[in-house]
Amino acid sequence: MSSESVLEESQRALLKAVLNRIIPPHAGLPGAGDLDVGGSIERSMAVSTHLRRLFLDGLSEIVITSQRHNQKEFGELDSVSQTAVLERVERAWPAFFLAVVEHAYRGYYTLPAVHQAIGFASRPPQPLGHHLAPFDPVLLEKQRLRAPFWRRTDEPG
Amino acid sequence: MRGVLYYDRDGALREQRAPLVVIACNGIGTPRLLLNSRSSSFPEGLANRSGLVGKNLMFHPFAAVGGVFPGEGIDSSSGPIGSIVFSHEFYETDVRRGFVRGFGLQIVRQSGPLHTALGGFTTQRVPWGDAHHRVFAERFDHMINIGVMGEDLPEAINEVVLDPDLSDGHGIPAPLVRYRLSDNSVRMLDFGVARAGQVLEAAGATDVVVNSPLRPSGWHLLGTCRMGEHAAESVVDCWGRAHDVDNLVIVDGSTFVTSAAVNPTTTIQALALRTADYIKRTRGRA
Repeated sequence: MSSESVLEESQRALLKAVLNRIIPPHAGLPGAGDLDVGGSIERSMAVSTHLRRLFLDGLSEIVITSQRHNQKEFGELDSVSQTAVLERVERAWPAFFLAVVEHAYRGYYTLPAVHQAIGFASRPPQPLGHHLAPFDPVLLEKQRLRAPFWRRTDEPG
Repeated sequence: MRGVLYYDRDGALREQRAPLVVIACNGIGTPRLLLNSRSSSFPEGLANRSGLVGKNLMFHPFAAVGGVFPGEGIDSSSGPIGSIVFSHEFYETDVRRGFVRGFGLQIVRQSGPLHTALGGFTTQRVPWGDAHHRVFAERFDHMINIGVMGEDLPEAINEVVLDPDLSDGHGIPAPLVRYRLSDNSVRMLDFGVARAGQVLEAAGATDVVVNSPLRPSGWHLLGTCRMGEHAAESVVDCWGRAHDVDNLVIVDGSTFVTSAAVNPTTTIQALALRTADYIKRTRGRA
């Protein structure tokens, strides 16, 4: 186990399944779990006691909820049942679930493979990137012809 | 006043004497400092004989309205982000609208993929699960947003006081902020959200996402040491000098009497430069 490993294998598999349900596979791209977003979450857990406790408690709650309502492990459930379990956990443990969702999004939408799939190209800030066409002043012609709608400050209000 | 007391990096209490003290801690930090600076001369806090230190706190009521434009992407994750178009058409009072004062409209583009997924300008997160990819595709590179920023009114019930329970690492009481959105601001935002929705729909938006009031929008902290001519009705004079303490000057958003409906930093900077000129001109005579 490396210094960045804080999960048991079963917990890691559970987190992977949860992440695949939060951001499922789509258009040829695997789900967030299969893209190893869980790895970045585990690295964050390794350096944050708060996050470690939050995720370990939350994952335990998913195990309990899955067994209580389906008598099966989360990974054995179909997607409809998995969604139902996560919705229960979201209602009962909102702080944990918000953290899972936000970490899933942060991990997934910073992956180059995802950027490529959605057609997003990261570019430097202006003026080195994001070049704009010159402004066309004709666009404001209508506004220029309007009478002032503001009050001069050197006249009584 | 003789100067200031402060804790150094080792936690030792120090005194720095000064002929003139300038405070620039803005609408929450400045009243906290003054209210904590009690003495026999100022039992209710330094420069607070008027009782107005901490009163009339103003933010800028804010609503975020996003328009979703179907079809081909509009490259809305690219280019300048803030105030691409800025309108003051509804800035002045028109009593027929049901409120006084007004608001500005700021057009803001949508952001990149991560911020879009987390909620973007309207802070409404893309749902997780089966709907995730559909909603993300609808929003990413398909949204333009309008911010409605209203002019808050000064009201004594909106205030900064000292927290009776919470303190910092030195045991100094923390600020406690009491604020409620006035009925005037609620009506103003409702009207502004309706206008922003009209603009977006006229431009082709098929769905309008609204977050009003935007709860994290208490960015601009104003009004808690208001400026004025009379010591009974204000904390500082027109130069930012405390009515009650000749050698104490405040140069931050706390001296604002009204909030306007624009970002306040340039006005704070202008007032600070004006006060600096005054100090230089009158140096040795204060």
